[in-house]
Amino acid sequence: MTYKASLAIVDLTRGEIHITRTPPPLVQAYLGGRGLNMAYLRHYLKAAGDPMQVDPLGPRNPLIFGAGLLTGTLAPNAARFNVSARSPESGILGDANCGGFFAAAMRKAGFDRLVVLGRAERPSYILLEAGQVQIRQADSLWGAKVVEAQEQLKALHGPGTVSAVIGPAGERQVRMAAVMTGKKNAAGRGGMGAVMGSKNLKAVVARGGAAIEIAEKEALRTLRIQQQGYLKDSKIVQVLGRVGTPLLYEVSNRMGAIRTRNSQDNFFADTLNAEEIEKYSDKMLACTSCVVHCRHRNTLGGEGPEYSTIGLLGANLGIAPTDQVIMLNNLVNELGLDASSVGTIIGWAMELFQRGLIDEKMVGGPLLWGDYETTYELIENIAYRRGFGDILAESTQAARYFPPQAKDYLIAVKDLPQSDPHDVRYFKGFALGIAVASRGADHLRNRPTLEIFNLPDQVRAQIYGRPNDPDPTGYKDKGLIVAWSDDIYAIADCLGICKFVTHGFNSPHLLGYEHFVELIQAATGLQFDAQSLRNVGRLVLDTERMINADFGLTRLDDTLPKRYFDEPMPARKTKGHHIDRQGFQHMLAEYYAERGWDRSGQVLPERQAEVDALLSALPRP
Amino acid sequence: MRIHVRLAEPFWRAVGQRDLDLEIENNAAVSDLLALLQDRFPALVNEMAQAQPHFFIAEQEANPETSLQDGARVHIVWPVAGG
Repeated sequence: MTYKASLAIVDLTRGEIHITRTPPPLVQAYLGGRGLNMAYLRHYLKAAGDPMQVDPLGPRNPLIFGAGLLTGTLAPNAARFNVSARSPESGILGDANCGGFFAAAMRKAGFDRLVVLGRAERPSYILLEAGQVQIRQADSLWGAKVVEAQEQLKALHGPGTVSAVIGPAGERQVRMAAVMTGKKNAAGRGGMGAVMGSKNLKAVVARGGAAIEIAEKEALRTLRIQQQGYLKDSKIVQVLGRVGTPLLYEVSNRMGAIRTRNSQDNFFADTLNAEEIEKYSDKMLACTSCVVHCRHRNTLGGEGPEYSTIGLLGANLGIAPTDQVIMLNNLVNELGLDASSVGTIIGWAMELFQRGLIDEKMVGGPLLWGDYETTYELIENIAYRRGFGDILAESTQAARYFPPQAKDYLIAVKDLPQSDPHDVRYFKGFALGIAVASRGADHLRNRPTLEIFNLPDQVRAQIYGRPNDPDPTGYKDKGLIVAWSDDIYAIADCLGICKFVTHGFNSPHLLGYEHFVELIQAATGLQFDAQSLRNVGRLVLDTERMINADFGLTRLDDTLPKRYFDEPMPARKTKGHHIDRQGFQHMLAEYYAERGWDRSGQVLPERQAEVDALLSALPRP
Repeated sequence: MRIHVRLAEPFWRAVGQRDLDLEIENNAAVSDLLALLQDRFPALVNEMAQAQPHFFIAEQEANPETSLQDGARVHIVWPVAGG
């Protein structure tokens, strides 16, 4: 095996640095990225004693940066890394996935993974360079916004320096603070930026120089050429390269499935359509090794927006002017906030104000749908924890400041605000997906996007492994398709490959297990077949379930926002659709059976023992 | 009769405009409209080979057999859903 998984463990309290390698059996079992991060997360949380007693914003919470197994190689769209910890937003498993150029630089600096423990006495950053690690003071960086911090670090360390940083929101431990790299690439979900802030860690800086060791260089080059050609023939790749994810807005809006005014409505203005966003774009940008180029450089000084940002800072807040939504997008990125959580939480607050559950005395003035100026100021106040912003900075945990019925209007699962702007009451598989996703309400764990295509029965059977009910609004067989999606998206996250080229994410003509097996073999020498690779996905899902069980999660937590059950969608094609509680329980039972879990949604004891035996290969912290 | 057509991504790129007003014979169905569009704009044939279009009329989804009414507004979209 060529692949040697290099790991740096940094204890900021003690100022200690330990450089080691991940044991090969663990690499074979979990690959890298999200998978190995989950292995280490469970390992460190268990080592702390009772994981429930690990304060997400305390020094015992491990913060793990992990590059995908293929990240930085010639494999298509292999740019990604995961940042994982106990989430200060949800209180459960926290894990955020991010593109850009940082992870490739980290690998070229000699490290696949970084575990950060403890808390620095003063603002610090970690420098990874030429296989060495240094802890440096960051007093002069503290207070800098996202791009400014990266520019200062680049000026200090020279060309080729790539950083993952926090902005003012992370410094103030805002529970929806992101880890940022570049102008908009965000490890956004779950408040990983707040965990960095709690450790007084402003940045992780990578200066790559060394080549990544490849098992079969020529074979990998050949695969790259073949797979790039295959991907470029795909319509979704072509269209994403032209207009990016804003493509999705018009479709959701036409169906009546765009979260609007905190899901009180389900359609909104055409001003947020892709061709309107395109008017503010002067270039399409890419991440490391990308063949898609889906990221807009906008003419208002930032990058993006993506579909999620358009929906959640636009339709969800009742803000229609295109330029205003782009400005809000640029603002959240510059301050280092998760756009999905911020858009959901502000929409929630606007509805609470509309219903009189909070008042001007608490808010500091009116909080009205479509009010751009107030929203802009509120986002700044969240990041700097000022006034009412300090309350919303608590994300879903702000509920403790509001009347009890406020939670009825919160669009979140497991205390994580829903990530994407799609109202899931119509496609029942989408609803099941966000209900069971391991980090809370999130579409990027398992969204069965093929449900929208009306694929022939035979094709569906071929994809999902057996015949299944094609009705996307029914409750049958949704456990099958969500479990299938769980596994392949987990593998993409383990490899560091983008979902936009992963089989099942908007096309059945993208990279699947067979492609991944070839890439892994050529890049690392590790041997898999399609089934054994899918089994890695199953292991990741089981490990995540075990981590969350330690945080006390049960079947009752695999649920949906109350509104999705109780209120039918108001208009357009989706009118009248909601989630039937009995139907939902049927989907849940089916899903647990597909996953091999018990009826309460827990991993079986013998499997738990198997997972923990694997993790025993890791040295005791 | 006269039909208004709005084309979403990626179809409008093959036509060069988002909105079209078309004359079509009375009693035509959505499939006839599709044939007319592909005849007038051959680049659409290729676009629609990979991106199967869906049709919406008056807020509801239509199928190829759906009859068109004079003055109908037809929105043709490519259904995708991600994030």
